[in-house]
Amino acid sequence: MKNIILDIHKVVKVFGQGHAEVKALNGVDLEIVNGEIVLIMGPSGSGKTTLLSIAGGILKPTEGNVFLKNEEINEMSEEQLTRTRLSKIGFIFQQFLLLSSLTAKENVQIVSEFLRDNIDSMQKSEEILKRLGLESRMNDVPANLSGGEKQRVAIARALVNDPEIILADEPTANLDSKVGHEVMEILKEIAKIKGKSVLIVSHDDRIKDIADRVLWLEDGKFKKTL
Amino acid sequence: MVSIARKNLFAEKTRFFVSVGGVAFSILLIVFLLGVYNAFERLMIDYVESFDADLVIAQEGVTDMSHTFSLLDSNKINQAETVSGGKAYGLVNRTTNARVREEDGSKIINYPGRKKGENKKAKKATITLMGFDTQSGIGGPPVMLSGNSIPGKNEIIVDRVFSKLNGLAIGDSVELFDKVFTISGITDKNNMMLYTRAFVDIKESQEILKQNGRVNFILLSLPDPSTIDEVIQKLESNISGITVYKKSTFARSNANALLDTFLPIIFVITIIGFLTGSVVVGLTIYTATMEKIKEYGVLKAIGATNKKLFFIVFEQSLWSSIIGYFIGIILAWIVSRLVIDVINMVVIFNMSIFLLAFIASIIMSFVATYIPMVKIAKTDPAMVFRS
Repeated sequence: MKNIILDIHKVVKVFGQGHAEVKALNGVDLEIVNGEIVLIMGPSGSGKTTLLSIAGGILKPTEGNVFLKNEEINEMSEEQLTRTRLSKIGFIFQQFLLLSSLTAKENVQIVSEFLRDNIDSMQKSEEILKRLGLESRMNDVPANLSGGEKQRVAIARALVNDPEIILADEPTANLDSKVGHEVMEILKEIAKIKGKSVLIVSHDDRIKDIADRVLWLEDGKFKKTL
Repeated sequence: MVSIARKNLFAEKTRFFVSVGGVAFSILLIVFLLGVYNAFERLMIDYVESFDADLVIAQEGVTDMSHTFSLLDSNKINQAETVSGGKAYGLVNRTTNARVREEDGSKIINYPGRKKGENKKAKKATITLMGFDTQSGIGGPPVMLSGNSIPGKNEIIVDRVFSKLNGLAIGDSVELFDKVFTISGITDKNNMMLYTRAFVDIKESQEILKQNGRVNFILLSLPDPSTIDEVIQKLESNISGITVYKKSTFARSNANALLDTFLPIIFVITIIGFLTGSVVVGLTIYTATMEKIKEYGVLKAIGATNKKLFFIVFEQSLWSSIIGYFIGIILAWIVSRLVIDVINMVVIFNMSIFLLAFIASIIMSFVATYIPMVKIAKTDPAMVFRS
């Protein structure tokens, strides 16, 4: 059964004021159901990253509403929003952004501990990393991992709290084609087997292969479906 | 639990050592100064508390033995005994110079016909001469290291530091007001830095100081100490020109008279030490935080609250402060041993000093955390999407 996980309704985002005013998003509507992979493409400055930030509750829209599993996140207090990001949203960043002084396992475990504060976190982190083929690299710090390994650790970190949706910003940008393909396969598995929604922002055409829908964003509006 | 704080802290070892070193030297300074302060306080209090007496009688208005001069007629000893029903003892107290070596550095040899007091260039040392009742021993040296605690005729008991600094031992001589005394005992805990106490029989001190039987203080033992307040009132109303103190009050008053002079200096240096420690930890924690500001942004984006991030930064600061505290305490102990042995200064530590320094190090952690925390609070988590 398909449920709407993310519902972005007539979202407008304006940065700056007066002459410096820039409308990054201009009435964007988007619905994503569980198990669906949506890829948003578009030129630089089209508003892709702004949309991802608003979907993740990191930025608040100037106008419009954002619902995550029927809860309106743009009306939440900062504390509720932080909790929602931690428990319901998984983030994957272009530059991996792992914590440099922690090992692969600790990078995953720390996010789990923020939510639970229990000893299951370690076990859970190990399980996810094993599933992503990182069993032998769990105790390595990011500096000793390859680009593909770092991105898999970042994916493990995004998954550890069992979120409703994964938001990925250029997840294959810093990876060669083989590793990029592996990462795409993992994202596909997350959506199709685990039933998670995945919203990807990317310039990478290869991701079209795994996406259920590809939307073209330009000048703060969806112009077409590819 | 994964400790980002510990991992961050120990990842950059040079910065960690600078941070810990800053706290350690700050704690060393604070603990050492408080140890010196405490030593002066203890030396002053312990001597007065060692009197086997309940009350101290001084000339009216005199508050202590260091800054004000008290002189009492000898008949006041008898009057005090009559009024109180207790036993009173005189005490002479005068700071003066003692000749400790001849001009050529040789020891003073007391032989018949030696022209005393003629060698104006003889080496001198400042002492506070205490003339006490040698029959009862009240007012005498509080601690003896060697020799006799009761000086006989022409004998003097000097402090360990006086003896060490002047190369004198039991059997050697010193000259006071044209009279040569033989050292018969070595006492301890009478080194007040500017002077040391020396002890002679009260009659000899009165004689060389030409006090004509007068004393500086009277020490009074009561048969029933429970009537002490009543006795104080009786003494002050029946004997003119005196102020009567309980022994503990007089001890405190003596300590205050000395410490009030040093307290502002010690206070200022302690504050400087505290601020230095805070600034060093603050700077290193600030640098460490700014270097990883994007990682803090990631944690915020993922869902860490500012409170959680505060604890991460505070924990880093706290580790630096606590490790620095223990190193500082060890350094303070080593420095105090050196100071005691090499320059004969007195340093006494106690638990209150260690506790105070510990509290200071914890406060340093909070102070050091403030600016980095403001930076983190202002960090926009949206930065994670910017290249």
